Amino acid sequence: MTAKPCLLEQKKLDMNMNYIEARVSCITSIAWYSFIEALRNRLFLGVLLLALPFTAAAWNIDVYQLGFQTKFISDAGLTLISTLGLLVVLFFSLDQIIPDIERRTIYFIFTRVPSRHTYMLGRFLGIVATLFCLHVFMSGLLMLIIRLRADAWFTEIPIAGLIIFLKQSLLVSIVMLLASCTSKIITVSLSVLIYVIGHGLDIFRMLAEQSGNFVFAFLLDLAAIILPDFSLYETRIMIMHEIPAQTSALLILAFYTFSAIIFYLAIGGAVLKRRDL
Amino acid sequence: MTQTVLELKNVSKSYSLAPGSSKEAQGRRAAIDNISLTLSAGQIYGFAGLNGAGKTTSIKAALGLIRPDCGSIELFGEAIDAAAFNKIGFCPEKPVFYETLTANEIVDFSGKLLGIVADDTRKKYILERVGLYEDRHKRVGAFSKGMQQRLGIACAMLHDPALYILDEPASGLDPLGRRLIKDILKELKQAGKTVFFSTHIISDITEICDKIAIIHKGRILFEGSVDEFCPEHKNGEERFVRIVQDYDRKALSAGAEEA
Repeated sequence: MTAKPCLLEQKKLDMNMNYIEARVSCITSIAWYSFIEALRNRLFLGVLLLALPFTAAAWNIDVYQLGFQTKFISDAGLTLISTLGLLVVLFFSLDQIIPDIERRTIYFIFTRVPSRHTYMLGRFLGIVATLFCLHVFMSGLLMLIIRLRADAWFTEIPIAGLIIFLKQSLLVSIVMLLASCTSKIITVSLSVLIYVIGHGLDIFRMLAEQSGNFVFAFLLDLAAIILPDFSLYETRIMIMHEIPAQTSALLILAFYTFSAIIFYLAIGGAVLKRRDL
Repeated sequence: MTQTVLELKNVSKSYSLAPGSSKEAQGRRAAIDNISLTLSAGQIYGFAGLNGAGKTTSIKAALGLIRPDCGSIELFGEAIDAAAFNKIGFCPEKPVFYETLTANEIVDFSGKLLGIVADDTRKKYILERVGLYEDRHKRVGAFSKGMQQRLGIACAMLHDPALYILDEPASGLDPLGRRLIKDILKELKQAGKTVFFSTHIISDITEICDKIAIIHKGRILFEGSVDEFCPEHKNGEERFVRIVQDYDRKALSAGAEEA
């Protein structure tokens, strides 16, 4: 056994990073390694492989011309991107906080990071980066197929892809909020419920008003304040009628999404902060 | 005067009993009950106790992972905050890492979380020291329990902290692994570091520690130097068993009197 004071002989580490740099370094490193983890997960490969038969089907459709078929392929393709994105959101968002707590990997993080909000934000950005890669890959593939088969650029696709990406990023923040305070099964159930209600809030509220049930109407009004309105992210009409998206509308939608994400992550971080681990 | 590195004063933490428990009427069970500990700079402090005695709960409280019901905890003379983590190297009991990452990436990740940039020389040194340098490009999922334990120690050493808090560092290790950990702890002491580690292996404590505390059923039954605990560092296990059994006997007779 060598008893040399080797630790003292080591090169001293650069500890001069200031507070903000340190926090940003934490967030980006958590996000980066979450992203790496997701990419190396076989489930992600499985999700990408799921797209292959649909891509082959789109390629092999007989009659390709600028018109209904192209719009139909675009819409079906975007629906597929949306579904695969949802799988990524559910599987990978769930695979973050709850397993970290159950397997105690969270100790590794929480005895090093400045705050639990940092952890939430880092994890969120990791999943969003994974989602972004999926959207870029799938939207690119869809555009390429239409370009090669119908000889036209369908410029609505990237815009619609962005809208779907914003919607799913918002869903990630909700899943992470729920995961910070409940179990896996409750998180899945509530996430699906919020997703469904969020798509039909206006319809439910109209039905409640028509039925004259004030309690139900009040609950739905309350839900409209707390829950996100996913119907804002509708892309089908835009694609089928080739309605160009307005920049101002997109900016407002992005602002709404970012505000909601910050709101849900802040609550999630606060819940996690109060939790005994 | 020696600097106090870690101090727990009258710290208690209780948990709700699960429904259906025979003690449900009492509502809560104290995991740690009014414990006080003082750890001075440069010491190796052994925290001994049976399984479920409250060792891990005390460590979690010291690190701010749980909020104690009462009492105060000071690290380097101040209440624990995020800045303190740069001075602490913590390795939990049976550390678990992200399975798809390699040992090298885990060490990098650990450094980045602390906001430090560890160069290759430092990484090489710590990975070599725990015997994992050759396996640095292997994914952690393929590591044995002992290798993960050693990786946990490596991560704790990365930023060369002043205080090491290690929860059962020798658990899951073979005799060679245990020897390695003991050697590292001795080196840390020689380098002037402070080490607080929990274990239920009394011989480890009598061999390398300066101070010992015995925790049993959430209470500190003994705190003092290893020389006080067992002169000539012999028969430590017998002394430990006697302390624990005496406490149980007294608690039993006190309970019988109350009834």
